[in-house]
Amino acid sequence: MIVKHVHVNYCAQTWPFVEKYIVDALKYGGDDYTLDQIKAYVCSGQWLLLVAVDEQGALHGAATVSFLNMPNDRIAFITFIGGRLISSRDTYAQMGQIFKQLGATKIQGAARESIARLWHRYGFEERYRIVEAKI
Amino acid sequence: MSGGNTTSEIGGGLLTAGLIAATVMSDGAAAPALEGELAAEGVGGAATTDAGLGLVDASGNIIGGGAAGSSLGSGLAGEGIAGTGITGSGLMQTGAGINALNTANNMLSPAELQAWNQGQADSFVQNPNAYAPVASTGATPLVPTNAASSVPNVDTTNAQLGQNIQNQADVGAPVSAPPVTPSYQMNPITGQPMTADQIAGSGSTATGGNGITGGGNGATPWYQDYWNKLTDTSGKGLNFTQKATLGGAGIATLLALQKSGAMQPNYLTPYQPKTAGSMGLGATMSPSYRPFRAQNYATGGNVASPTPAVTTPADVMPADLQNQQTAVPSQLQALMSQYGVTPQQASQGIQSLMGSQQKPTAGPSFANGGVASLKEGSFVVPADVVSHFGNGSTDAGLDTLQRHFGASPIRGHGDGMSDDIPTNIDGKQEARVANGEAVIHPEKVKQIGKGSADAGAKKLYAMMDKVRKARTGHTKQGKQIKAEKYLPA
Repeated sequence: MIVKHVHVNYCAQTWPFVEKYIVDALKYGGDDYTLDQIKAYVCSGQWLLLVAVDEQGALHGAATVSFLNMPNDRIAFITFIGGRLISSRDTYAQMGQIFKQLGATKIQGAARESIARLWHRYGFEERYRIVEAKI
Repeated sequence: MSGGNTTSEIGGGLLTAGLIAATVMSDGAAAPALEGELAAEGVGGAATTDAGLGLVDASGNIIGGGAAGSSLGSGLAGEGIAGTGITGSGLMQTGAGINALNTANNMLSPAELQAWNQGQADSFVQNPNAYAPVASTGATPLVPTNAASSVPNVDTTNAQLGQNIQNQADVGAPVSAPPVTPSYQMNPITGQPMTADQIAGSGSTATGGNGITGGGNGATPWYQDYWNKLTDTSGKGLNFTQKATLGGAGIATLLALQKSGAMQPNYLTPYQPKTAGSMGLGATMSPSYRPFRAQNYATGGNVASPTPAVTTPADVMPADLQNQQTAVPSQLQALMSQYGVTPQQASQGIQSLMGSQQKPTAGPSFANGGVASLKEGSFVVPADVVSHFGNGSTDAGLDTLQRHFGASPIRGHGDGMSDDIPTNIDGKQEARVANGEAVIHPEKVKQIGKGSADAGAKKLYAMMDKVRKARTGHTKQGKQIKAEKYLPA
């Protein structure tokens, strides 16, 4: 499996293929974003789009990533991820390499309990618990 | 003031120029004075350069970033973010964005995208040469050379063919052509592509030159036509022997076979590229998918059932032995009679041998093989921890975890860290596990945590740390290595 990023020029053309993976992830994303809003972020270049393709060129997963500049770190925040993108140490390493090339020093994401345990294998530690209240 | 988004924070990764070609449309002249906030929205116009948009306050200071322009330079409307915490930070970072990766190998190529569009992801990889650029200009999209639109409207005359090729080179785009059946067929004699008419054998009589020949009349196959036209250098006709001597022996053989009825003419039906759908590409594998497997061993996959292992001797023991422990294998009966051993003596001997042995078991874990689903809340014990529990033996460790937690072993391809075994969580989230790992089921995790899955997981993490500490002196998992590197040559 090879992880690749999609240049912003091709995000709109790529979107129909990756949409199903984002829809899967969106089920757990609450009501923070709609699918159209995610598409707008990706196609405008505000979020990075990653895809996982196999040796035959077939698509197997996708992720959207937002970069956050903190005082001490530049964080690649995985906003949505679906399919087999972080499914092995190899794909995780490839993704990390892309983030490094973009200047990131950390990877973060909001994960469910099961995903947190899955990603623990790759070195992710729980940092925060997101709490929320409507006001 | 609208809150805006984090555009300015991420702008640094997107801009290719640090220009602030901003147009600020405020809601009024007094708007910038609203206690550090700017009641305005930056509006991207039709920017034609790689410029991002920013917001400036009355003093000209950057206080918020609009959306970055894409590398096409299309400006985007973005809401500025007021406040001092993140003012313009993204805009100040230039040249290090996504475009910096343009030359990297890890970017989706236009050709790959086009393959998806055409549903030909398979053929792109198998035949990458078919996706050669048709023009030297980088702006021209790549098209498959076998696509109908890229097949020139070839006349059978050399002059027209040459003109077509010249036109293609000059214009930098494929010569417009009426629909032609896609074809990969090559003329085996000349090595040149054949037109659809030639493939079908219904073209007009060939005039020779450049390999776009040999159509023949009606149902005449190309090799028949080729054979008929073999001449010497002066154009004089040749007899059978002379033609065969000139390299037409293969053709003669073809004709002889055809004449005898042993071979029918092959008119090489047009090639029809496979679609992605026909290859199953683009589809998500069903959670219930079970690949074929030989014998009783899984070709990969995870536990299919959380229930404890059940002894099923039928799966692993020869029929002679599984009937009864006292049964005498038929293979021994000849030897018994030869050496005068009675069946009772043989049974006693076998019983004494097998009585102290644990029967091999074939648990339900691999009863179905293939890919099964992990339940949400399951806990996967890494392979190194499993082997630590067995003092270095994975089998012993799995046995220990099975006895204590009812854990199910994971067996399949790869090593303990290769994550070669695909699975998923509740049929939704794709995941991978490794050979030699063990799955503790969610009910047990909750039980360990006295009703709380979270507390149970914490206890299990603590257990992992303890056993690693006891065995290795530290709590970290060992590094992944390549075994070949350490094996003697």
